[in-house]
Amino acid sequence: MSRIFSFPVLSAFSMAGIFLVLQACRASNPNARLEKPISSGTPQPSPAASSTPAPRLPPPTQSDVKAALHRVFGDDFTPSFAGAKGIQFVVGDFNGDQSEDPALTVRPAAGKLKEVNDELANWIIQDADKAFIPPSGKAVVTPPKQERPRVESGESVLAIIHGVGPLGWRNPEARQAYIVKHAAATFEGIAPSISQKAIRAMHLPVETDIIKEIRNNRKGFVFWTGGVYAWHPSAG
Amino acid sequence: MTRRKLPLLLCIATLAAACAIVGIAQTATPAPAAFATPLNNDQSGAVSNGFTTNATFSADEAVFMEEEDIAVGLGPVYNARSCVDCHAQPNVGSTSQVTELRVGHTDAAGNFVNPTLTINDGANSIPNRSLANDRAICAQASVNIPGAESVRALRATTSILGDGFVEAIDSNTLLSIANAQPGQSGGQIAGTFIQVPVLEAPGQVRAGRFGWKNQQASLLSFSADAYVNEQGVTSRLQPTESTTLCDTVADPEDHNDAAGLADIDHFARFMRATQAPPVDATLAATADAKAGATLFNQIGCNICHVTSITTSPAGTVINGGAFTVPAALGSKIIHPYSDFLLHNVGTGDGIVQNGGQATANQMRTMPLWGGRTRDRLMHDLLSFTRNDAILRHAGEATGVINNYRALSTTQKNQLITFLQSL
Repeated sequence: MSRIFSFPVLSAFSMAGIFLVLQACRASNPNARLEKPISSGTPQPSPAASSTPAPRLPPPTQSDVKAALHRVFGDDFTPSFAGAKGIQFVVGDFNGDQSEDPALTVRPAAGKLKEVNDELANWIIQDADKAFIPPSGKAVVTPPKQERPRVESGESVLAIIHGVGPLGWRNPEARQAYIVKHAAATFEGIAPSISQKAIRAMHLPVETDIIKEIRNNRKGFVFWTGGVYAWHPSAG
Repeated sequence: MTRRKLPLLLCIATLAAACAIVGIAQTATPAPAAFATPLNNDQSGAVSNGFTTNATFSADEAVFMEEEDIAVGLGPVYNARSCVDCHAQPNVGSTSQVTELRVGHTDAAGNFVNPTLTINDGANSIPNRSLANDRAICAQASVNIPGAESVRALRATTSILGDGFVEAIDSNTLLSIANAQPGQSGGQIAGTFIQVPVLEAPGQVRAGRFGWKNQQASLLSFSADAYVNEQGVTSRLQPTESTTLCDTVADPEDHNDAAGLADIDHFARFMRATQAPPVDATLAATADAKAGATLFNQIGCNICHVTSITTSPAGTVINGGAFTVPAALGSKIIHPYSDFLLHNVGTGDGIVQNGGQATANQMRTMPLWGGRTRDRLMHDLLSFTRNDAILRHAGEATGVINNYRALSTTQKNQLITFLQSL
C-alpha cells in the first residue's frame, strides 16, 4: 500500500484528476458557452428623432424670445438691436432637425466678456467666415485645425438656439446654442436651403432653413453645414 | 491519519483544486492596457495582450503596416496603401487626423439611397457605394461624385486598439445595455441594437460593433471590409472589386502565405492581440480627475459611454461559430466608455449602411478610451475642444448635456480633466 501511494504516483493521480474534472466541466454543458442568438426587430428611429416637419407654433412674442435668451445665456449677452419694434429676430429650422429655432443679434453684456469667451461656456463660439465644408469630390480629407474664436467687446454676433422636439425653442430643454461671428447683420427673412444654388452645389447632409441677411451692404445668407454655421454671399 | 483514509483525502484535495482552477478561470480580471505598438518599421517594442506571442504579434503588425502596390491588388480605387496610413496616432492601430467622405442622396420618401459613382468620364460606374474613394491606380478609375448625390459626410478613422476585447463582448450584453437605457434616462435615450452578417459564417448574424454605423460584428469581417474598401484588395470574404477598370490582378487578390494565412487573417489576429488603450494613470489619480469621473456618471454620460463591460468567458463560441473566445480575451473587464450602440445625438451624417433607414442619423457611441491622444473630436473631427464636443451633443443626449450645462466651472473642469485622462 505504501509503495502504491508514493509521492510521484500521487502527483500523477492528482494532475490526472484535475484534468479530468476540468474536461468534465467543459463538456457537461456545451450550450452554456455558445453566444445565445438574438432575434431582433427592425431598428426604430431614436426617441428624440422626428421625421415629420416642425408643427406650426404660435408666432413668437418679444417676451418669448427674451425668456429664451435669458434661459440660455443668462445675463452674459444683450440684444444688439432693441428699437421701437423690440428685439429683431427670425425663427426657422436652421439645423434641419424638424424643430424651430430662433436667431437674433446680440453683443456681450457690459463686464461679461470673460464669461462670454470662457472655454467652458454653455455655447459654441464659431466664425461663419471660417466654416469648413468638405470639398466636393474628395474622399480622404484632413479638416483644418482652427483656433477657438473670441468675441470682442461690443461685437455684434448672431445667437442661435436650437429647439428640442415639437415645442422647439420654447421647450425648457432647448439650451444648445451657437454664437456665430461674422453673421450678425440685418435680417431679410428665411428661406429653404435648397432654394440657393450655391447650397445645392455644396451637397450638405441636411436640408434646413437659411437666414437671409445684408452684411456690410452685401446680401447673403447664414446656413448650417451639418456641424457649424457659415455665411455665403447671394448670387449676383 | 491512517493510510486507508489517504486516497479519500487525495480525491477531495484534487476536486477542491480543480474547482479552484475553474473558479479562477471564470473570475473577471482587468484587460491588459498599454500603448504597446510603437511606430517602428521593425516592430520593435510590440507587446501583445497574450492572445498571441509577441513574435507572432510583431509579424502580424508587420502585415498591418505593409504598403500594398498594384502587383498585389491595390485598387483600382482606394484610400490608402496601408492600414497604418490611417491607424497611427499615437501608435500602430490607433486613429489619425484622416477622414473619408461618404455620399448619397435621399429619394422622394426621404429614404437614403446609395449613389452610383461615375468613373472613366461616365463610361463606367461604381453602383451602390456610399464610400467615394479618393485615389485610383489609373486616371480612368478616378471617382467623380455626381452632383445629385446631395448627402455628403466626413468620417474619422476609428481606433482598433483593444478591439479583440470588444469582439469578445457577448451580443446579449449589448442588447441588455440597450434595453436598460430608456429606464435610465426617462425614455430619452434608447440605443439602437443592430445585427449584421458575419462574413466568415455564412447565414449567421451578430451584434454590430465596429465602424461608425456598427457595420461589422467580427474582426475578420472588419478586416476583409477595410481591405477591399480602403485599399481595394479583394479577399476570400470580399472577392468582388468595386470596379475592374485597370485591374490586372485576379480575384481574390489576398492569398494565403506559407503559414496558410491571408493578410485579412493577420490583420484580424493583430487586432485581437492588441492591448486596450490605457488611461493616463498619473492624471487619473488626481483629485480633479476622480471628481470628474464621479460627475461623468452622475450627470448621465455613462448611460451611453458605458464605463465597464466584461467580455464573454473563455471558451464562448462567437461569430456564428467561427471563433472561440480564448483565455487572453475571455472574462476581461474593459473600460471602453461606449455602449457600441447607435444613437441620434444630433450629429448624424444621413448615411445608411447595415442598420436600415431609421439609422440614417444615428452614429455609434464613440469609445472614449485613448481619447486623450486626439484634439479634433467627434465623427467628423470638427470639434476642437472637449467643451465644444460635449455641447454638440443634442437629440437623445439633450437631457444629459443640460445636466452638464448646469455644472459649475470647477465641476466642468473636473469632468474635462477626467476625459483627458482616458
